[in-house]
Amino acid sequence: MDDFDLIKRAGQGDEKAFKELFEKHKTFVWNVSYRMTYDFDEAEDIAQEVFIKVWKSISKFRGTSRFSTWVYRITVNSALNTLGKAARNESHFDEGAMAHIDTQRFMDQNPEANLAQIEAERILAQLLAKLDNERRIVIILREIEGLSYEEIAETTGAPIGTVRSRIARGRKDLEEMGALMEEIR
Amino acid sequence: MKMEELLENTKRLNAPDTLWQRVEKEMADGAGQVKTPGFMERLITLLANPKPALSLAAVAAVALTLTIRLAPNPEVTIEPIQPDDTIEVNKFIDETLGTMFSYDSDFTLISGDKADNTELTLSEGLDNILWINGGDNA
Repeated sequence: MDDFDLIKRAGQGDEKAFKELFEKHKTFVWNVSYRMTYDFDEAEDIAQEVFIKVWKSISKFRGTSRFSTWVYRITVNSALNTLGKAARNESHFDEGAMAHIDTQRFMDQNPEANLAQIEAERILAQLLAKLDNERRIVIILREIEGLSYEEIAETTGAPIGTVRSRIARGRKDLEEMGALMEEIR
Repeated sequence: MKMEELLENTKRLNAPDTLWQRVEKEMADGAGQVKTPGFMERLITLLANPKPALSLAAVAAVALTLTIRLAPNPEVTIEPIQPDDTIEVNKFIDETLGTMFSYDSDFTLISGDKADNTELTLSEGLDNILWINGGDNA
């Protein structure tokens, strides 16, 4: 069954159809939520919020954009809102917490992961933590999720030129910080 | 490890199994869908809960229409100007404007109190002007 039928049926309250849509998009939603926070509990809250928002308003989805883009947009907004709230509440998120990888839970959820991958995730978390939210989200969308510049522009609501410059600056920042980390070691 | 290498080797992570359970639970707990109302539903809602401003505007429009349609249309009769009226009007103009646009003996335009003391009336002033111009032309 294609997305169109699933969306139509889910919009009529069919939970089974919605579950199929969930299965198709859960990896994107989870990866963005997790990599924006590097906190399992917070990422789960964001991902849950995303799917509940989709469920509630799926009957209003008119198909002016692709369904996946619509889900991406909700995910990005939810993640940024959560981080925005966290920034106002300084006792919550901080770079140190974000850069921490809960190795046990990481292994539980990704049994095929090896030590090298965990180490790579730890380095990536430390580097992403240093980027501001706007650069971090575009780097995740481009470099990890593989979205095109056009899709990122549509997802974030930023002009494509802005997206390009944020990605370029984000990459440059990561390179510099990565080099600095190598030197410290 | 170089940055490109790091990003290329980064794998997408599995979503936790508990995620669907949490979503399903919240849906069951009453996260109802927002339904888009159809045309009839919107019409019924509008009629059941009319907004005061809209109602007032509708009543005002009906009242205005009825007033225009039903109010008697008075016919105004315009009587033609009689010769006596023309004389009266000419006299009035002569008396009023004659003092306002009077000329002194040097044919300088004067007005106000000075004009009141001038015996030249408008018609006399005009006669003088016509005479001068006529003289020049001649």
